[in-house]
Amino acid sequence: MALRGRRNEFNCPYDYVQMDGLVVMKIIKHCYEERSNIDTPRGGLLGLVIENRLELTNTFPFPFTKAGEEAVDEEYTSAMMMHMKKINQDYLHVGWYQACELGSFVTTEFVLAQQGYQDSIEESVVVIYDPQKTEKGFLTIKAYRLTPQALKLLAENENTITPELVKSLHLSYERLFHEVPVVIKNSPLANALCCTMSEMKPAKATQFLDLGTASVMERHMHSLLEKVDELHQEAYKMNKWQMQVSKQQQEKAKYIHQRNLENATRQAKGEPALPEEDLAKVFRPIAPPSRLPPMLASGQIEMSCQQVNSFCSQALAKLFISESLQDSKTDA
Amino acid sequence: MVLNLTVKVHPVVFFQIINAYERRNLDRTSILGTLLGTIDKNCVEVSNCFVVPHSISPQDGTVSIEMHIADTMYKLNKQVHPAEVIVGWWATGFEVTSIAVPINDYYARQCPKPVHILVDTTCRTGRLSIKGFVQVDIGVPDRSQGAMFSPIPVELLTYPPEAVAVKTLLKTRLTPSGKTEPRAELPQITEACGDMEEALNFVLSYVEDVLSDRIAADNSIGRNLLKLVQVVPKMNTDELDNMLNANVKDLLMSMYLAQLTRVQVQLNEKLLMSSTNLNPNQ
Repeated sequence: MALRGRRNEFNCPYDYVQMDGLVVMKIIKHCYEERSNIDTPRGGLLGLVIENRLELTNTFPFPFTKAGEEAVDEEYTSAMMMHMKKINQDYLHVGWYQACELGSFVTTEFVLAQQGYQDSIEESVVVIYDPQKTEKGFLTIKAYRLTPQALKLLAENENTITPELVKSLHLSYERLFHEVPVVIKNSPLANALCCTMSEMKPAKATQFLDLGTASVMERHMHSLLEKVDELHQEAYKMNKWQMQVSKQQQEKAKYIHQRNLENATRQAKGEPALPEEDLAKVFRPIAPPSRLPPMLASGQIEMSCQQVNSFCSQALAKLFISESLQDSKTDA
Repeated sequence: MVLNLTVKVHPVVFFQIINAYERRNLDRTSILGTLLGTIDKNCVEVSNCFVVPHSISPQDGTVSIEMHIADTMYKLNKQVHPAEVIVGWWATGFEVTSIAVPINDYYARQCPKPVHILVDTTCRTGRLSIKGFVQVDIGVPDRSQGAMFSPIPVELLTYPPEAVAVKTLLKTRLTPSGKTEPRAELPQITEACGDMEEALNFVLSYVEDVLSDRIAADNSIGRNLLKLVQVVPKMNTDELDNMLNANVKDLLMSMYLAQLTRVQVQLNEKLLMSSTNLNPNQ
């Protein structure tokens, strides 16, 4: 087993995530039924690392939590996992899933949750499922992990994430996450089931040739705008801080200069010099704003831009198809 | 009385049954479990299920179900999906066997009219058949009485996103490794374009055949074709061109803006990270 123990640059113990068809269906069912809730549906993933892949073989949904309650009910989770063990399912908790529209999942809450997972269970992965895009006809399931640098960063106190720290870790917003490729696998028996199901004539999914792209585009743009606004505010905070610090710096220089002058005059008069003062006490260093929110906002913008790009390219393709259809109609 | 009953099952239920069968204990040849869902008059919608371990005594053939497991699982499920109630039970196997009667009696205490779904995981007929049953009492009143499992139709019901996922999952039967990847959006459109062309060619060849009297015309197909033609909105070339151009411009504009935003964000990051004097305090 030459592959075992091999680590890639992201310190990820596997190369890809292999999901059972069952996992995909269970996630979709849970997220669809909870779609009217304000709370994002979440659940646990069960599976195993085998050779160079992480096999996800089952999932269980987390119960809907009311505001103020512990996000994940420990008792429920352990009861569910005990049960899974009893019925011969994989019972190792290897991550969690979350529904998320238009890829807008890069939030402080999200990265902290994933950090918690990766801290306690090293191979943890987070699976993001996009119900909106899936409903439009494109099954969108992605798996992400935090990079080692991001983990180091998040291990710090949230308020001490200074620009220098980010710089020393060589971390940029593009390197917060790395995406693990997802493969869906069905067992031979599940394939037999697929054959039977295709005979039972399920509803055909052809919504993705829909030409009405404006509404989706609008939503994309809206979320992008929001994030750009957020980033702008963060940049403003950063600028303000830099200005404050440089102003303080000037005052400090002036103060030192005055003291030196005064000491010189006192010395000339033969008086003792002014007592030493702690400069840090007079001019308290101003704390820099946390670097985490702007980084996450940047990451989110990057993600949204990629989504806009892929959405636009497919929408353009659809338009060109209809154009050529029209052309052939006029030719005929 | 119950003969007009229909069972509508979500694909996730079948996937769970298959998975449970694959992970049964080695000494088991068949397994069973509870079906959860909702009942609406004559339609039972099955949206979830779980496996319940059971054992058959080798001496007298009596069945014992581990009910406490069924109870815990039901309670756990209730926390997440409060609307789902017990609607029946499922089993794997080729046919309804004698053990079905006591099990059905147990489930009849949990819900008024339990439906039974039998999934043939042995594939004895060469396919994985799925059948639905309800128990009907037969016999003479006050005399010998029996029970009969009467077949009922089973339909597949999918939520819109489920339909999309099933479409992707169906692809795994065509690949030797049984694996598939969720595709990016553009390749899917290409694929759909091919499918559409194929379907159009098929319809065209059918129409040609009918016109040249090779096949007898079918009225219902003709009516459907007419309906299809009528659905196409009437638009002249100019209107369509205008519409297309406007849309294309919109999309290109958004792509341009998105790209611009990306570059700006990158620039912001690079400038910040390359500035030597981040903190004037030091």
